[in-house]
This record gives sequence, C-alpha cells and structure tokens, in this order.
Amino acid sequence: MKNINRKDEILKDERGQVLILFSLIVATLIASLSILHAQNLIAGVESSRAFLSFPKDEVRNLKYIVKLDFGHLDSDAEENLIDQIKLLYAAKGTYVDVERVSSSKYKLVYSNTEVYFSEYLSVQDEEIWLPETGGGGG
Amino acid sequence: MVVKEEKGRLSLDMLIGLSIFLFSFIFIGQFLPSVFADTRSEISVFSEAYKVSVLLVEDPGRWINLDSPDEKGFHWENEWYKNNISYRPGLARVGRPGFICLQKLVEFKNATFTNQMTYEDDSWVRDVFGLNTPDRTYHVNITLLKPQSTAYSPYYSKDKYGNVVLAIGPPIPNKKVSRYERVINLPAASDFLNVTKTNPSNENYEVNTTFPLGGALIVIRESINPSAACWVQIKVELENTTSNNILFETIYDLNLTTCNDPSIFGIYPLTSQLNEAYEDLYEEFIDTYNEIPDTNEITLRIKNLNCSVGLSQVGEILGDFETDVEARIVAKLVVTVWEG
Amino acid sequence: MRKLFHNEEAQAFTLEGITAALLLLIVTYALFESSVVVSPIWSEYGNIQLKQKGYDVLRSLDVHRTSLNQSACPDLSNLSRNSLQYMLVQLNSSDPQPNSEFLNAMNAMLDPSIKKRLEVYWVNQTNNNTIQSLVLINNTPIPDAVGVGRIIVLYPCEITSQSPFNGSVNDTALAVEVRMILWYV
Repeated sequence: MKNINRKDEILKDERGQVLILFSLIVATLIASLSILHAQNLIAGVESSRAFLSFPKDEVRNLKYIVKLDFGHLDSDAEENLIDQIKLLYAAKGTYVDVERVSSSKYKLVYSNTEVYFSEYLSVQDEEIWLPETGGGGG
Repeated sequence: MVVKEEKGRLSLDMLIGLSIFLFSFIFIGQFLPSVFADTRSEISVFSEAYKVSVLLVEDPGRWINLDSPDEKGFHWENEWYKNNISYRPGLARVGRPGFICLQKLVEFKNATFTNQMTYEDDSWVRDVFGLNTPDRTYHVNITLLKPQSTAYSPYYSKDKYGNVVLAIGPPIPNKKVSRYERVINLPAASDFLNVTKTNPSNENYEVNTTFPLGGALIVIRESINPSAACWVQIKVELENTTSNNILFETIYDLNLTTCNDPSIFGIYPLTSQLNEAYEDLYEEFIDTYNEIPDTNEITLRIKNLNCSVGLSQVGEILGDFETDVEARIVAKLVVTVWEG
Repeated sequence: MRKLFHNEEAQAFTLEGITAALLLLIVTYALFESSVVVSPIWSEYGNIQLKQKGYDVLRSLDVHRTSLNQSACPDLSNLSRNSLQYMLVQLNSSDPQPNSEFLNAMNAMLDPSIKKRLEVYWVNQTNNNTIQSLVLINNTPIPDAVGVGRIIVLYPCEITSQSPFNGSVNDTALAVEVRMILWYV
C-alpha cells in the first residue's frame, strides 16, 4: 500500500520536469536550426546548379557558328542552317532563334523552361579574330 | 524550493539528473556543428575553386584607372603595373572564353611574382580572387598540366626551354581539397612547341625529348618532287649512353616510290603512339639490359616532303600550328582550393 | 549515508535527466538519419565538374576552319585529324566509326576513369525534317551520367557520297550536333 503511494508520488512529482522542458526546448531548437541549415545548403546546391543550368556553353557555341560559319555561307544557306539548329534544339525542349537584323547584325534568342537569353551580335566585331596577344588597346 | 528542502538527498538526485542532461547536451552541442561544418566547408571550398577557374579561363579580366574612371577595359595586362590602376586578372582572350591569351598568362605570373616575390605564396591571388573572407581562410594552387595528367600523377606543362608554364600557390597538402579541372586552349605559340621543319637537302632529324609528351603533330603539306620517291619514318629511340645499349620502335612509316597521291597530305597527331611506344620500350629496356635508359630521342627520316613536326611539352596540338590561327595547344588548368 | 542510498523517494530528477538526455539523442539521431538535412548530394558536384569538362573538351576539339577552299573540298589535308570536323567528315555510312586519332585526343583530355558514349544528331531535310542519329561510341550510361553537346557545321562539299549525312541536305550546310554522355566508372 505504501509502495503504491510512493510510486504515485514519484509520478505526481512535478519538481524535476524543468529538465524535460529544457530538453524539449533544446531539441526543437536543434531541429529547427538544422532545417534552416539544410535550407542553406540546398540553396548552395541550387545556386551552383544554377551556374550550370544557364547554358553558357550552348550560347557560346551558337555565337561562334554565327560569327565564324556564317561567313562561309550565302543568306539562303544561312536561313537553312538556322532552321536545322532550331529543330535540333526543339528536340531538347529549347527554343533557339538567330534572326538577321541587318547585314552584319543578328539577334540570338535562347529560351527554355529555366532560362531566357537574347543578345545582339555583330559579326563585324573583330575581337574573336585577334591574335594571341589579346588584341589592341583599351 | 529545492534549496529549502531539509533532506539533502534530493539535491543529489537533482545533481544526477541535471548532470545526465547537461552531459548529453554538451556532447550534442560539440558534436553537431562539427558534422555540419564538414559538409559546409566542402561545399564552399568547391564553389571557390569553381569561381577561380571561371574567372581565369572564361574571363579576360578588367582594369580601371582610379584617377580617371573613364579609362578602363579588358587589357589589364598592359596596365597593371602603372600607378593608380585597379585590376582583376583573367586569362581568356577577349570574346573568346576558354582560349587563353599568352600575354595575360605571362603578366599574371609577373603580377604574382611582383607582389609576393615567389610563386609559392598565394596571398595576392587569394586577395584578388576574393578568397579572403572574414570567417574563413582558403589556400589556392593553380597549375597548368599536360592532358595526360590525373589527380595522382600530374605532369607539368613546360615550354620548350623546360620552364614550367604555370604553377602558382603553395604545395597541395595531404588533406581534403577541392580540385577543379578545366580543359583550356592555348595559342600554338613558338615557345610551347619544338618544331622540326624539313629541308630538302637533309633527311635525318633527331630530337631529344622527355616523356610523356604533351602533344605531337606532323603536318605533311606537299611533295617537293611529285614524281620522285618520298618517305616519312618516325622512331622512338631509348639509349643508355654509358653502355651504348639502344632500343627503338618505329611508330610511323610511309614509303612511296612516287609521291603524287594527295591523300597522304594531312595533319596527323602522333601523341599517343609516341607515348605508348616509349612506355613499351622503357619496360623492354630494363628487361633486356637490366639498366635504365638515360636518353630519349625521336628520330625522323623525311624525304621529298614539305612537312613540319611539332612536339609540345605543354599539351595536345590541334591544327596546323604554323599557318592556322585556330590551331591550339590543349592543356589542363587545375585549380585546387583548401581551407586552412 | 545508508539512508541516502536506500531512499527510494524523489528519483524524479534522475529519471527526467535520463529522459531528457534520451530525447536529445533521439532528435539528433533522427536529424542525421533524415536525408533532408544532410542533403547536398556529393555526386551533384562531381556532375557539375564532369559536365563542364565535357563542354571544355568539345570546345577544344572543335577547330573552326578559317578558310574554306571550295574547289579542293573535302579538304581533308587541312583538317586536323584529332578535330571533331575531321572525325565527322571521315565517317563512312557502311560502318560509321570515329577515327583513332580523334579518339586518342579525346581520351587523353578526359580522365581514364570517365566512360563515354558519343552520338551525332542531324536533321534530314529531304525526309520531312526528321531528326536522325547515329551512335559512334556505344556504351550504356548509368543513371548518374551527364550529357553535353556541340553543334558543328559541315559544308556541302564535305558531305561525300560515303557519308552518313549524304542526302540529308540539298547542297547546303549541315548542322551536326555531337552529343557526349559522360559518367564516372
């Protein structure tokens, strides 16, 4: 009888619960901090993925086709080549267009679900042909 | 309330309970950040390595005159040593990412040396690429390696005088580092190439070299006399000059009685044939003579052909290195970053 | 002393201390086990590096023609045999294989630990603009593999009658996409 009373007393004891309360607070703190931290990490991953989800190499590839290959082609062949490139990119879910704005100026468009990019290119821009010295002043 | 307790036993109970709690709390407190810090530092170090590689390989750099801000541009290589110039180096040719401008490369080395008096100190490089952050210090090592290099066996790119083309920063420590590797294009500059040109009155050429070669290319342009015989024979020859033991292997053999077939003209890379022949011969040499060779030679026999042979200790050669502006030498630029 | 140890009262603090400690440990353990928290998948980084390297290699192997002699075309003697251009021009439709010089150069630039698959895609304009493809190096990629591509322009005279591209265009330039799929073994 007395034993049962004691057990009851222990369970009813309200004094030590501060510790459980503490640990609960600390545990929630750790959990929420970790989640915050994870968000942080994921943001890091996402931003570095974003580096590469931007198609810098594809865009440069297209720019060099315009700058270097178009010089060897007449305007019909140029149109034809653009159509082929459009189709090749369309198969990958990307819209690509190279539009002739004036005789030596083109507008390049690259667009997919993640990126929209457009740039005006001038084929008279000699910079890419400059020799290894890096070219003139300025 | 506890303190007022008249029976001391309760405070012992309290002590035990509290110490168990505190013990585990401190343990977790110590343990938790170290685990996170690990992944965090790997991630930040990796992106720092990526950042440095992009600034070097894909960007031409910038400069500005602090006195007259209208004076600015990409060609920091001509300006950096002047007064009141602020600049950030980059090695790419203007408008041509991935293609290295030779002058920028040279001036990048000069600027490092001028600031630190040695290539082994990376403090200027860290400064200029933003690797000094308030809560972290990084170290960086930038090297140019032959394409055959791997993380475990690096072969430095060397110019034809035997100088290392690019090696900046302290030695890479034996701990966790982030290594970012870029395949880059250098101009086919004469310093990077050992060129043997044919001369109609000569037939035999010998080139001393070291292996593995970064690149080897033979450009066969035309025959001098199309109705006469022509040949090209390329051999790798290993010799021990003390015992005069010699071992050789022919890797290219073209022999025609009349030299009027245009299909033989072209630009032929020989890098892997030469390197493989050397490796085979080296082993065979040790097996046969029980000694190691001390001279490696490439011998060329070329008759009645106008051609050039280019050997490079920098990297793989693509394109006619004597006439084509698009010809290039391909090497690896390796950026290694670590914390500490 | 005896009384102290024999006393059975008020063990609440000890019990709660243990409960608290357990609670903390369980929470930390659960956090470490859950993939959400310690997430950044390392392979993601390897892949970023591999993808960049793939683009770098394709760019290095793409040696643009600075001059084009239409009368002496296909001008194979002026195409570097380790370039993408030469590899594409020399392809033979009966057994399309990349030439060994090209493969050697490509393998030297990539690590020996990287496996690759090489494909080409182009538009057949004489057949309703369908996209045709050809596998040049046939390895089966793992799910972690990354793909990179580069478009190379071939000129009409470079498409010989033996070429797999023969008949795809009517006397005009052809855009060929070279796709490389890379993965670590």
